[in-house]
Amino acid sequence: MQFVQNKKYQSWAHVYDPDIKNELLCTWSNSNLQLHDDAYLAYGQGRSYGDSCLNNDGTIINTSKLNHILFFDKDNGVLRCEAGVTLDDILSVIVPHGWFLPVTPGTRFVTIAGAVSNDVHGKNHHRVGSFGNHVLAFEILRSSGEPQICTPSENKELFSATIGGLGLTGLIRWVEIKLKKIVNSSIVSTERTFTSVNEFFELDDNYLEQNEYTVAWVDTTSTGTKLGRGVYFSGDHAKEHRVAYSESKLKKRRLNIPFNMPGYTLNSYVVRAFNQVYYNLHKNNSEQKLVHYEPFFYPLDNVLNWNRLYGKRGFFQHQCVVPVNDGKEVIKEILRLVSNKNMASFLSVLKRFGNIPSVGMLSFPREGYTLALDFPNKGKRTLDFLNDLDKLVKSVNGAVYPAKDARMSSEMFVKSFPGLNQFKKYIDPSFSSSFWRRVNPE
Amino acid sequence: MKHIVIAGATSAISQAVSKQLISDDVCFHLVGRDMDKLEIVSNDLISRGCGKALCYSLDFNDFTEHQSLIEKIKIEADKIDILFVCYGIMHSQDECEENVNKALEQVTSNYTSAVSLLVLFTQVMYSQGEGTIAVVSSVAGDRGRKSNFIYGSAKGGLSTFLEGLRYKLYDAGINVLTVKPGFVDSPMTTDMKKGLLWASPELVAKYIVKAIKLRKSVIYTPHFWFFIMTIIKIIPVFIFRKLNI
Repeated sequence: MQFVQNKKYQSWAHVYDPDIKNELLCTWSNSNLQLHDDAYLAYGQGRSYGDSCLNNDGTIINTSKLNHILFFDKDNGVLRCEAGVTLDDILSVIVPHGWFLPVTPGTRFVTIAGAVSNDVHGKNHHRVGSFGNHVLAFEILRSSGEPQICTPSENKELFSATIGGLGLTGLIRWVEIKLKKIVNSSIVSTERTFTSVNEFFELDDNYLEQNEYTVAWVDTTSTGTKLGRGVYFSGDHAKEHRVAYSESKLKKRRLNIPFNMPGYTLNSYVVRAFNQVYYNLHKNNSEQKLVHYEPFFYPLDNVLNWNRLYGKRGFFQHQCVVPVNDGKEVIKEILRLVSNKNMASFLSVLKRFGNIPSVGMLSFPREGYTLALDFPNKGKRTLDFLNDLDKLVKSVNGAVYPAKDARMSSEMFVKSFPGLNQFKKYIDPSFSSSFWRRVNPE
Repeated sequence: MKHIVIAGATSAISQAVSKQLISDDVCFHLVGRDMDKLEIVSNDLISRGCGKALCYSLDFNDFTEHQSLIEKIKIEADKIDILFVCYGIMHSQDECEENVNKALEQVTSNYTSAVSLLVLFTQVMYSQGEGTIAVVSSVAGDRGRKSNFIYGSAKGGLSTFLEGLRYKLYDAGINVLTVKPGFVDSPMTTDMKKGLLWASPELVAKYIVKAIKLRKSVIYTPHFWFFIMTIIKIIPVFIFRKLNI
């Protein structure tokens, strides 16, 4: 609820300032949108970091009003909703009935169609795979005419192309997913500090299988023997009916960053201090706690518009995945590079993906370690550094995540996605994005 | 069970108001032109936890259908707790000045059909002894302006009608709420340039729901429109005719 400005179609990391040729507001999932010969791209909440949700000089289909829930089977946990419904909205509907999202990314302010198009992953990837693994069906409108329903068995090639398909296969109108049963809204969580990245690998080997949710925060400013120290978070849905926190208290604690901060707000001293404090706050604090799911899954959602902390030049995210065996060295090497070059990433997240295969031809999640880092945009210096990280990822056949990317080379993109050639057959000729034109310069 | 009739149920403001009135003991009666859209809205409300939602398709400009709509609702509802009316069209002023049919359509849809519905609903609700009639008018009806006086006159007429109805129904225990929104970011205004004065339908709906609960008579949403319109109303004629608003 807010006052409305003229809509700017930007992405989360604010590196680009795109111009669009046209916008279409899609308000009903059953209305027959006439798609002509153009470059269309659906835009939901603009939570992709780079340019995969942007369409410079193209036409944006605004799906924010496609916000109806079409069907909710409270007994069997099946939900069908329109493309623009956010995960936040879904949670507010399903949690009171004892259901939860099967997979959730680190923010609940994304749309369901965005979650499908990027085949997003969560802290439970090692147990359940990514979002696409839980999609029962969706309807997609292509420029060729009639809308088509896709399921894992019906139109399965288009199904598999659209999951993780970056919105390039057409306009998703609704999505149906299978939900996860829960007892209440609490998470039993444990936080353990590790003093080096080696210790992380050990901790992870011990706790990954035991816990449904695991993720680690890494202090990228530490060096030497402390390289890659951090905090390992693990958690499971509470199994008993007992709620130990006050729901009303939870709602109030929200901070909003009202405008872009000066570019130097998150300088390396601030980041270093933050990382120090954050690490020390969690030290000696390894007992089990009962927490609400919101702070557990979405710590950053309590700071609305946190991207503005990076100022108007924005920032770059780099998220890669590298195979388990060769990957450990690469993760260490990346952390070493970050700290040696004093690049200081504000929030750095490390997690191991499991071996459940992703459904999408262009899905990012695959078995291995995934590391997400963010860096303020300092122009060429940052871009060169990110290219160095790509080289390391490429050396072990890893991949870089398009949803977070604003700069990878087309070579890196091709290397990251072996299913790319198969995927290309299913692209709708009238759909495109800034990202796609950047990595496919033809 | 509480019965809430939403006339114009597929409009952005109506949808936002309905969502905020959801409760498991509420039955919505959704009236609108397009049955497919009504069904989407009703499924949405049911999924979000309302007790019941029924759909009635109606062309608001076909007055002969109004009576039978009321009969259909009467079968389902023993009394109507809230009647919320929010529908209308907005053609551009230029279009209306060039084409009298557009002008008449605008007046019919925004004023005449609302009068027809409200007179008929009042007949049913009068004897209830309680209830609320909330109708969305517009700040555009507060003063005739050269840029939008055809739409404005229909909304002005509606506001005057509602004022009278409020006095009439006061002793009958029924509150009549006139809602005067300013600029709302909805499909009706997609093509207009947005700015500082624009509000989302959700924000407008929040104030409407609050006003219904507090049994207010007239509200401007958001509140600052009250001050804007007060100033616009007191601008002397010799200045006002020079203004391009």
